[in-house]
Amino acid sequence: MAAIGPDVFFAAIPELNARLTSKEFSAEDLARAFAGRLEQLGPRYNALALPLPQHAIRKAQEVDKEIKRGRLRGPLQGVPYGVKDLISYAGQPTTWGAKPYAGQVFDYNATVVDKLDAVGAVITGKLATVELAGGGGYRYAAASLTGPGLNPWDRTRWSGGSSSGPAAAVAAGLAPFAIGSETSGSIVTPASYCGVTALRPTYGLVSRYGAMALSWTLDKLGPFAHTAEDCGLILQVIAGKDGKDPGSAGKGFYYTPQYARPMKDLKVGFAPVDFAERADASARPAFAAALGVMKDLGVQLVETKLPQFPYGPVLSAILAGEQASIFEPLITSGKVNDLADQAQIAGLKASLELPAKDYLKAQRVRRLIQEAFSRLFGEVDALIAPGRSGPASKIEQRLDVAAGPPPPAGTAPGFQGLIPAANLAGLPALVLPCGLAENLPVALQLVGVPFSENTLLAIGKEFQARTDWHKRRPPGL
Amino acid sequence: MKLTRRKLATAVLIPAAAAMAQTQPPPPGTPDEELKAARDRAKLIGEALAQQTLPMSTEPAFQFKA
Repeated sequence: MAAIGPDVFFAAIPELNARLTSKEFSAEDLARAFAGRLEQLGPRYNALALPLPQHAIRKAQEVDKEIKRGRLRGPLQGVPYGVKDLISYAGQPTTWGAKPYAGQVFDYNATVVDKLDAVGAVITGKLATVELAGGGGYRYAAASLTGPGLNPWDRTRWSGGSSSGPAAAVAAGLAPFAIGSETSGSIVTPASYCGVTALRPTYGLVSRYGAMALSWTLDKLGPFAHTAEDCGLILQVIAGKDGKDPGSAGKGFYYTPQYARPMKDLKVGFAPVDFAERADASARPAFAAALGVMKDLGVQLVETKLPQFPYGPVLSAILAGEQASIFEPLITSGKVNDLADQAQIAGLKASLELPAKDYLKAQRVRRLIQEAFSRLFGEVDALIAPGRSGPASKIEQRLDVAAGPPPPAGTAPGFQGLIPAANLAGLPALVLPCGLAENLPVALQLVGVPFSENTLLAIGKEFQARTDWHKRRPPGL
Repeated sequence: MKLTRRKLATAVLIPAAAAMAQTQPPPPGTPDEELKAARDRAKLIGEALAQQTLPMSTEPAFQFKA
């Protein structure tokens, strides 16, 4: 077995692919190294739901035979990865991070798993999630079958949720990439807190077949990785029409950085207040520097206002209505009481009582939100804002109340509500690590018009060519 | 007046901590109180939605196709 050095654990996908195809090490070497590291260090961050080392080794041996025969299947061939434990892997437990489903086993793979398998990617394990992706509204980071997600940068801090395991695993070099999900914030938040690059695709671009449903009209699956380029390479594999997902947009995705528009032609909307008064004081220098880099890229930064809508209530009503229908058997059976978080239990129970008129009203307002964003994107190509306003919260901190004092009265709203707004409109987002605050990562989010992933990835690639925040490693790793 | 580090910390940190405490009501103590709190939040959502006036022609943002 070839020695796998520490640099390999944090290498980007093209580098891994080059070293595999040049036979510097084999896919089996890589699978054994990553699977072992995931099993050894994953529990340290409560990031591991299920190790799959034997599956990984068998698959990697097949990949090595293919590479030996010259059957090359693209940059993900032989690259290990993990999936959030709400994504089905046939014959193995898929717990949805929740005690009532601890013994659940499906006999089929999720479409994303099949697609990754077809190009020779090697699954090494399933990764932790907040129970039921947190749809009921959770109060504490401990709302998970695997315990609170611990941040590899500081284990007294939260890794973010609900895709806690995918973000922590990539940040700690336990997997080169991982697949997570977002209904509203579950990719953007953990990627920001853990300092990894991640992509929330346009609604419908990636099939959700085989993934737990929380909200049929909001759920998306997307990649966590080390670079924007990695996210593009992964999205090219996992995107595409799927007749088994009624929400499928019927579109594929080809990562085409060679055809990116010149940066100087791009208008990017922002609200200065998001990077100043509405950001945590400790994070403002990092955000200011990141905006400076964006300007240096040549993009035109344009002050922009978000359309005014009650994004939070609209999203909450849609989520409540859909999760009530999905989890009605869990709630009415009383098994909901086995969940870990009391606020989540109560939220799920209350969702059964949501009036139909409220759900439909929310879906009607959502139509106006979509139209308003469509007009906004007539003026700008993308929006930029902090991924979160500051670094990761402390593990014991309550998540259902504001962490600090509110900004002074009269502070402009900025892009407050961008996460629910963009999810309601089905917009893609790219998360880019952009600095440290309190020795913890902070990040930017770039949001674009539907199916503009190539534009977001092009900006991200340029940003990462001029910064090294995406290469920083947590202390001791 | 000489401002010692201790006095400065008291002057700065205690009001900040008090402000934080004011913004963090204690969590509900019992499952019934939790459920009531969740229902109250749902009621507020309904009230926020009720303030939105929409033309009849605005259809929900999902489509049924025959």
